[in-house]
Amino acid sequence: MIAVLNCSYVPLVDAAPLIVAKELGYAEEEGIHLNLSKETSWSSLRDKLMYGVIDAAHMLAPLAVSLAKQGVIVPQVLSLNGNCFVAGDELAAYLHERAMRFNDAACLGQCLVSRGRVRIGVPFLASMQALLLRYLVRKSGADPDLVLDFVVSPPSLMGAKLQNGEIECFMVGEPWGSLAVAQGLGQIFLTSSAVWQGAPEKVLAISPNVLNMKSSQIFALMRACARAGRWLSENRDPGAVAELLAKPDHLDCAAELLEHSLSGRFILNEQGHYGIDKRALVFGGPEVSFPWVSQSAWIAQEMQIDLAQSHVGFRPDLYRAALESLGGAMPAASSKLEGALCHPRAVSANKDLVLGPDAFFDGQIFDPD
Amino acid sequence: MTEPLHIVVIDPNKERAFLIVDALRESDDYRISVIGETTGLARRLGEMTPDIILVDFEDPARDSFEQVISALGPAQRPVAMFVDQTDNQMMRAAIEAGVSAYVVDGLRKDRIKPVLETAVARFHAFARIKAELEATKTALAERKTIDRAKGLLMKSRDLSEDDAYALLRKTAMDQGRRVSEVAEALVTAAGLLL
Repeated sequence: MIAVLNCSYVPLVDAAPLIVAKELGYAEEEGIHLNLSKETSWSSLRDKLMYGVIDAAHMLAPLAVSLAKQGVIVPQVLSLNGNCFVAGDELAAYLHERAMRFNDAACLGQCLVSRGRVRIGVPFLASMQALLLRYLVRKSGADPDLVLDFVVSPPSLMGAKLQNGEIECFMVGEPWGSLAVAQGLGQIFLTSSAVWQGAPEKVLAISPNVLNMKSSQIFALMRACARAGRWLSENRDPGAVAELLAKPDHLDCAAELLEHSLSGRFILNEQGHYGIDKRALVFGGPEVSFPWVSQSAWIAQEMQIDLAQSHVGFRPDLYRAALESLGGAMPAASSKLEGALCHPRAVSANKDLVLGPDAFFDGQIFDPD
Repeated sequence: MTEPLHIVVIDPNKERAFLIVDALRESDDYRISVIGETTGLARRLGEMTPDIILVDFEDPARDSFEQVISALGPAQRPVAMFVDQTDNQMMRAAIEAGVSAYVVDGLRKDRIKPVLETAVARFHAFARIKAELEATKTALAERKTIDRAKGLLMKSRDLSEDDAYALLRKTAMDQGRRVSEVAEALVTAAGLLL
């Protein structure tokens, strides 16, 4: 009998590796029946994982790290980057006055600081959105606590909250930024890769007890997701991927909306101006999905979680064990200097492995040691 | 005698919230408040000092509620319940019923359990009532369509009511469809043609 794995995701474009793993039959080929279900909130996804209702989840990397002490394990990264910063009319005018160009993170940082206090929507506090915004403001010379008023909202309500003035801007995963633009409620000024080009965004999170009981199935799921990630990164037809994700079973929305982040070509405003960012949302093999210990260390530092090395949750050892049989390249190290690469560069590995750029907007380098 | 537990139910669905209130009210161990309208949630929760907060698990705004709840003062800050704090079986039942609970630190398990059990039972009961209501509504709507289709047949083919229904039923059986589907198709077609 084929083993069933229950896995939940929040309907966003970056859930693509799981959806593709199922729809293109990678999961089945690896010998598991992947039972996918959608969640309406991160809290609910977290609770289902913690109480063993599901085996695995598509999770915000910082949320997963914050749960490491409770035993949550991250054996794989699913995607890098992928969030859009959207401003409502008033803040947009302020940014235009200060000559803010698409993806000029330094300029956005200065503008947020000079503005004083900004009410900003994020989907969850333990999220890359919140961490990157805090980083941006801090490196622009101000105390994030004094500048950013975070308002946690479901992405589906961000547009309405912009309209009624409850928030002035927001940062969320796609398609919600593009939707706000399409509805004429806001303008995209930045994708999160402009703050950090190599931010681990969503990870595969495994519930504490599942690994012992179902390790071979979890490994199968990881291989299926890695193959799906590779397929997504090599696919030259964003329209076809968009159609697949947009199905009622999955994201249940207009496929056109999903194409922006999949192609890296964003419509920024009602005037139809374009912004191009090929690193806006990145899927792929080990160059993307390897869970670097240094990534979780950066997250832990930003969240002021004091995690002993063994509690960090990111598990390169499991990644190697699961993906070895696929025969792809595997990094030799488990940790790297975050932010050291301004351009793609080959790294030490058993085969050719080129890591994409991972620079921070301010050129800083994070050394986990 | 211990202080009564203050339970706050955040639920825009008033009927369901009151089902829980009714069930818990009989005991002197509880004081219950319901928040249906979530604007000003932070201020209202701050005044209430709840021991247990019950939230609809499926509410898309749950993440917002959680931010507000976790921002309450340290003395009165209920947290999401985790495995070490309670019994796993009970929490799974709660999740499956669609209840999530936030509980102040240090509250004894035996005081949480009956509250959750009651909430779970009431959520189930509510879901059942809702499903029954939906089924009734659908049946009524189908009945209406069938009546209209019968009327159309009686008029255009000069049939009696019984014959009109017999024709609908025969067509449905021949095509392997439900009578209501055939009736719906007929009504739609008639709407387009006439």
